[in-house]
Amino acid sequence: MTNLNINAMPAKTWHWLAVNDAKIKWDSNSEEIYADELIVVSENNKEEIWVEDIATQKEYNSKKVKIEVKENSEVTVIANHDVDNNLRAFLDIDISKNAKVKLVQLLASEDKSLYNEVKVSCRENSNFELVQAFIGKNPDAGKEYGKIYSNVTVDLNEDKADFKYDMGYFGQGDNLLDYNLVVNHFGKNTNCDIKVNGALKDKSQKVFRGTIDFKKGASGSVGAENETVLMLGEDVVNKTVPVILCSEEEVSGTHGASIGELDEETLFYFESRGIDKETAENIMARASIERLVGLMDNIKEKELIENTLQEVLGDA
Amino acid sequence: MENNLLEIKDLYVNVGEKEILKGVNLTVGSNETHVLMGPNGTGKSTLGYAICGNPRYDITGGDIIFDGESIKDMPVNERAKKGIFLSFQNPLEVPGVTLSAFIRSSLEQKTGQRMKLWDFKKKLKETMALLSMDEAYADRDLNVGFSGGEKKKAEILQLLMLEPKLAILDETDSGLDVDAVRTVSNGIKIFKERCEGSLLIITHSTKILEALTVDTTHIMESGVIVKEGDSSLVDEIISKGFEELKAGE
Amino acid sequence: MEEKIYVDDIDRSIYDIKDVEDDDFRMEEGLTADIIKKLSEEKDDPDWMKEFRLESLKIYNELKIPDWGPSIEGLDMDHIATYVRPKSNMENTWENVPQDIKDTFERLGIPQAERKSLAGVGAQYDSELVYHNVKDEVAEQGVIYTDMESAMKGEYADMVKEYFMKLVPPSDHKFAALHGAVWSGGSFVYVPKNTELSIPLQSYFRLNAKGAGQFEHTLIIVDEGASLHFIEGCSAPKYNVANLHAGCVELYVKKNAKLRYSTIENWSKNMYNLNTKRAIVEEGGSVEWVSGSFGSHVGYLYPMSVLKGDNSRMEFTGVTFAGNGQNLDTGAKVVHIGKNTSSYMNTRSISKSGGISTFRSSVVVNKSATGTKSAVSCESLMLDSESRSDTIPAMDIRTKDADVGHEAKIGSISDDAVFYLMSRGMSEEDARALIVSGFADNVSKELPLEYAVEMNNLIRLEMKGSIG
Repeated sequence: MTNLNINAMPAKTWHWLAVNDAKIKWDSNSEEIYADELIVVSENNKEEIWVEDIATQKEYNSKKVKIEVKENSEVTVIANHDVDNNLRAFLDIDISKNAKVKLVQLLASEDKSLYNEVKVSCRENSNFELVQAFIGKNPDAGKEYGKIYSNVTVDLNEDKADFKYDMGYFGQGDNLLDYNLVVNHFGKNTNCDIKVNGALKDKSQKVFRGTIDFKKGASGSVGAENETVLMLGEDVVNKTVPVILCSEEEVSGTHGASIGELDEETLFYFESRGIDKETAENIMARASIERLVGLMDNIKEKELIENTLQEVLGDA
Repeated sequence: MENNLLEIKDLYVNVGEKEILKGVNLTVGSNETHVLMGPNGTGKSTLGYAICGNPRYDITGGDIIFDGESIKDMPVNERAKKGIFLSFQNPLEVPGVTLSAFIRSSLEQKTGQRMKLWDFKKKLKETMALLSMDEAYADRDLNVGFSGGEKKKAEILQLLMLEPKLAILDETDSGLDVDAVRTVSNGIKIFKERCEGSLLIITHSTKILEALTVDTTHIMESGVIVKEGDSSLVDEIISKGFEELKAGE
Repeated sequence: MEEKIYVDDIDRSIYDIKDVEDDDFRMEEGLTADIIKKLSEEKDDPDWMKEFRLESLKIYNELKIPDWGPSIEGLDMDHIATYVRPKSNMENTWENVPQDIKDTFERLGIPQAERKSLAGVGAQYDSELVYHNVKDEVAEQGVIYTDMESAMKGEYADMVKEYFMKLVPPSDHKFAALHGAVWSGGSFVYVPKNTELSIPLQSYFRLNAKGAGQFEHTLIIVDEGASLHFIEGCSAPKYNVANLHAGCVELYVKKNAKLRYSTIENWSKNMYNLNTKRAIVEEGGSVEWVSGSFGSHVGYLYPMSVLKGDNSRMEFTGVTFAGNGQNLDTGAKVVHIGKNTSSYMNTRSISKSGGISTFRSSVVVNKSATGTKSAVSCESLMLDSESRSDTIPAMDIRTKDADVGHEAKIGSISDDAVFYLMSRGMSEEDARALIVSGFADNVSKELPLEYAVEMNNLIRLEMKGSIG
């Protein structure tokens, strides 16, 4: 077993906070490494691509997929990582000029470790939308809860590249959810909008590192990051590190975070309709993920998330 | 009096350190329609929130009797289950919770049992039709991206589905165009007919009252009720304004 | 005619006047056990302090230089004189302070301020205090304000031993260990139970010696129900070799006590300011930090509040202005331990002419801290694209019964605002200076008037020549 260093923040802070990076236990010797896969979407096309995991005999797996989307194409990528084995999934996406990519990812685990790495490069006037659902499932009795790690880097390389990110998570039991997001604004007038919503139950732990980096020359760029954490368990641990790095004058960056129980206003609205606090909390926990379903285009995608949600939280 | 649904007795309410209501007395009987008017900032919405049970509004004196029982110390959700409904001036947006799921959960809490999905959907669909609301709104996230009019309709939809005994409408007509006011007003009329419920309508205009028969009008100023009368008082205020009304006394 | 548009460096003349070094004693440069022993002998330490220093040196040698903040490569500890004693004993009448030192402080306005609006003043020159005085009526209330050395050896020896570096142990970080090994000077304040000081106490620190370090220790105990406002100011002339400031401030705020700690830091731009400040607050107590950071070449400064008692609270209000050649890493830390504790941080950072400012914070809410309320608001202003501004906050929340909020904003001066002010006849430079002053008014509003004026003067100085 070795410790792999992952999810490193571009700018470090105090070590005692233990947020600068994460370590994942990995047995590289017994790892099944799949051949890299390359998918090219030629110009002016519209496509839907499904990336599924392959069930294997090996405990440790890794798989790398690269997708190139040529100019003016429109692609939806659905990556289903509801893992039964420990998995490292690498996905690289190159988005050419005027192309649009929407990536929908389900990251779910019962008792395994999942490491999801996504690297995206965006050219002029391209558009990248990422919808990620992190769902910690119930493991079989006696087994540990799963650990889900995710590392997303988006380079907005050229003018007017746009990135929209919606993430929802649900953690329970001993789940560890550990995310690192880095958005590099290189081009002028680039834009990112990050919304993260989640709920933590029981003893679950979550780390969210989100960095918006305005590089010199990225004038006219705008970046916004917002996280809402619903704390539902007595023993939950939430760490949030929302970083903005800036070496360009003409930019605007904002971030906000709100961490705690259900806010008074929402609770009052629910209660004024006769819904008690516990029910309201359950509804809102589910809502963090349900919100994402509303952002999906086809039934198959919606079902993927809905079914997993039902498995974990029961009927709506 | 047995047929009194709501009795507000010498009610004092603070928001933070500030006293807003300074001894309000007001009684609403069963199946009655009351209108509450008054200049901005006199405590009309505060009264609505206090009846509904918003924890931010501190009752420092007096009592609220609903259906023969003091509800002043009762939690919000219990009051709702007893049959008090407040239509919000600015309904909250809740991403991830659909309008339909929200109403279904509310009904389930009220009745203690889960309505069959099919029956629920049927009733919801019918009720939405009464309000000329697009069915698609049922599956949209609660109030998210709704226009002002759609939000108010969604409130009236909840009113019709939950069938409370008392509905407090807090400026439900403000900021709406003529058609939307008509739809909302019609919705309120249906509520009266269907549920024989009582209404306390906080408003600035008569438009919303057109389809209704007003039993009593209350005028509030600086935290107290200064005048009461029948429906003709509404017209008097609209034509003369609050100042003149006071001067004429 | 207004000042020239292109100015390389700002006019800091009153801060920059160097006195001829006429030391009584200057410790040889570097850090060895022998030097520490010699320092301890020079200072006639009690035995426990000598041991403490040597132990701290050991820890210093074991700890690593931080790898997360600004580079301190330019700081060569082998060439820093850790102890420079001016040719003066501690005086409590101004007349007896040597003329050159007196001139320096008078230029900085120190005795005038005392006469006007202070309850007591301490002035440190290099490694030792040269002047210390407390108004009679304050002394009569039982308030102790004295230099650390006297406190350690006199009547309050036990108290000093009980509290000294207990809140900031030498093992905390490398420069806390350095401080433990070589500290000298600083103030000791004790405010007895239920004593309210209506006017502030002030310490002023001046580092004149070239290539030297200042390591003063400030220990303040505000006893139950008492209240105090303490102000510190710092400055130094500029040399082209590195100077080091590694002071340590320990504040003990007892039950229902209140302490406000204000700092206007204006070290010269060859200074490495690696200062540690920390407060522990008991039940119902409060600490308020007001902090203006303008000087130094490199700064690491994050006052920390430990909210130990139930219903204790902290507020941090700060502004940092990083100009040419400056890399200022500032912010605040809070740990919520008691129930129903609250913290509020409100900061502004300004970066200009290649300056780098970083806002760094941590909000830690322990499991025990139910009912915690915490809000952080930080705003940064970029005045040009040569500069840099980073925001690195962290939150670690371990109870669900908490309400934690965070807001950050980064941006530039709005052209519309500049245009509006210019349309009323203001020059562009003045318009921008006015906007920046307004941006920093979270701090100036919290300072006594004289200090607010000084701060706005500093901003105006920094803004001169900002139109390129």
